[in-house]
Amino acid sequence: MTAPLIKEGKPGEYMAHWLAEGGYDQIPGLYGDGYLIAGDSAMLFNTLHREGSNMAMVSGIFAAETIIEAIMKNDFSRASLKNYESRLRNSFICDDLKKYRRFNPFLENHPEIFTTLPDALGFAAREMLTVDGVPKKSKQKKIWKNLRKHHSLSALLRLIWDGYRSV
Amino acid sequence: MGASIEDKLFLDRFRVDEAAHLKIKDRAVCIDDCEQQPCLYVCPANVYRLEQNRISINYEGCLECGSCRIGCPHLNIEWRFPTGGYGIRHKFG
Repeated sequence: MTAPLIKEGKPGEYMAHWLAEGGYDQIPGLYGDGYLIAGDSAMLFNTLHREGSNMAMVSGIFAAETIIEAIMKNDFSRASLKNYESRLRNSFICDDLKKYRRFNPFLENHPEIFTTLPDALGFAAREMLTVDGVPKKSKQKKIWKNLRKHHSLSALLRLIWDGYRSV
Repeated sequence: MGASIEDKLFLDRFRVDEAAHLKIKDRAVCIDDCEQQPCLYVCPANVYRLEQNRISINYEGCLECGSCRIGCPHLNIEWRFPTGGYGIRHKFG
């Protein structure tokens, strides 16, 4: 699908980058006298969907539009660049980031997502995918028991509830 | 397709500082305690190489992505950005 788009293209640069732990609540002051902040620096990052380059490009367009306005007026003060923020607020960027603002705290408050839960999931997959003559029902029991070893029922319910609320 | 890391790095421009911005905290850990040595393959710029019982750091080609800092199972890499003005120079952002 992308092949025709990049046909005869040449690589221009090789880069690697870490992702900002950004989100709605991490967005800094976006504009001031003589500057605008866009993309990663503005913490425009969606952890759940691992997206950010789309918002970087769109915020870049907004920044450019605002700068063109400023050039027309020949005024680069904070007040003149104010429209940049309202452009962002009226776009999908702020809507999306607001929707997922609870997601980063959700991950931070539930360390089991990175520790014991992946182990339990791996255990479950191995049990279910191993053909050893044991009926599935007893396998299910074993998996549930293994899950409960590290997680109380209330902790599991809280995890599901918090997760549901965060997205 | 299939370009080597060296070919890809050749596209980049660097301003190299004299002092390394990447350091291994305790070299003995890498040789004695680290079986997998993931730094040798997680780095997209092949900065870490095994040379006769010693891991060398070619910090000059570092893309500043931070993979090694997180990827080292012993958290044995002291990672910081190069001094301001040094390091990789992006042409396209």
